Amino acid sequence: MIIAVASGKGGTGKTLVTTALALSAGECTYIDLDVEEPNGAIFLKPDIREEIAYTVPVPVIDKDKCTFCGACARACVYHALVVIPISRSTVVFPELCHSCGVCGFVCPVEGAVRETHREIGKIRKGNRGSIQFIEGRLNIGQPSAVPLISGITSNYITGENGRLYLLDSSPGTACPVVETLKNSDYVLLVTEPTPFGLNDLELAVELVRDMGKKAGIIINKDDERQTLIDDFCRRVQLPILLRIPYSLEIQEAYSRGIPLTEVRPVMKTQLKDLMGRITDGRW
Amino acid sequence: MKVFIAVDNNNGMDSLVGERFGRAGYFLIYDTVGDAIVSIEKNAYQNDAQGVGIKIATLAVEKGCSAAIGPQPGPKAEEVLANAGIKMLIADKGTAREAIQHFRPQLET
Ligand code: SF4
Ligand code: SF4
Repeated sequence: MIIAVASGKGGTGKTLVTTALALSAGECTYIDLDVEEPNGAIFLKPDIREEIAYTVPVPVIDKDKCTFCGACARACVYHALVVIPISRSTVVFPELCHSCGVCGFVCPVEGAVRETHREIGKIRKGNRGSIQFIEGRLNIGQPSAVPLISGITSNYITGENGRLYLLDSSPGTACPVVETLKNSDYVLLVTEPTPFGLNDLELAVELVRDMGKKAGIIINKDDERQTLIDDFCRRVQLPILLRIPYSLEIQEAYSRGIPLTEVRPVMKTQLKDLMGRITDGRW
Repeated sequence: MKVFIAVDNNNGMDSLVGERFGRAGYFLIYDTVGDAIVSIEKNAYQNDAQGVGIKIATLAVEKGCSAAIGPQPGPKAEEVLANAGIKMLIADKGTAREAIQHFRPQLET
């Protein structure tokens, strides 16, 4: 079972929820896919055992073999390659390269296009008790988080029978979120009962529906007087699975990196039950 | 020598030098030997989302230009021009004629 935790915007408590789920689940794999700003480790405090540099292939052109015919540059839809016959030179822009391999495929000269590896981020692996911890961290200045996210999900979600995976998605509704949700069986959307929260939730729901994913809502900083999320959920027929009350104590613990399950141990049962229902297909 | 000039309109040598290199409206190619315009063409890449600077610099290479006149290009376009040995001369106002006159000494090679 792969559960992704997402939110239309940042700061709604997505990591607070995902880490609390992990701490309530017992045996599970927590994966921080908010690779531009991973902060699950702050709450889970895992023992990191391994750090791997994640690389993507990029071409290098061997000037001794290249005939400067320009076929590779014409074939590259991302304009990551320029061939300059007059000066017998080539320019590769690695940050524009999508590692599609087309340049090497179209090149008529054997060995003119070779592959080199460019690091785009780091993957850290470790444990916190029975929780397996995996985190992606994109290097600064990398234009896209998608290759790192897909690299992690394809390598570490092994589909082991019955294993629970909790994916902490990046906020918003852009490509990295799509890449994360693509691999999930169920999406938990975390929101706040404010007009902004609702607005972003609407976008997130639209995305989840477009992707044909099952989803449920978690309201963070819940306030009984605010019913706008309830009204919306009724209208779009999405279940509200959990309400985390608005509490200064939780807020303060959050700011110090203390997990929800430590401030409100009783919530463990609720969270475990919630995951059980999702896994059983009751939600 | 052929000179690649980024201009905003199509008015012969009275065309105005563009305000942005990759997104200039037209490209004027001028031959300093025959002192004549070789061609003026519309910037087909003007509204492309990505890679505009690279495409324009590649165009200058393909047209066989040895110098380019226009506003400061982006780093990628600059790298392509430098690799091609195309001299980049920075100008962002005046007409194509004024630019050629102004840079004449640098274009006499
Ligand atoms: S691998 Fe693909 S994107 Fe990268 S330079 Fe080659 S053709 Fe372009
Ligand atoms: S296709 Fe091959 S031979 Fe032709 S320019 Fe590219 S690398 Fe050189």
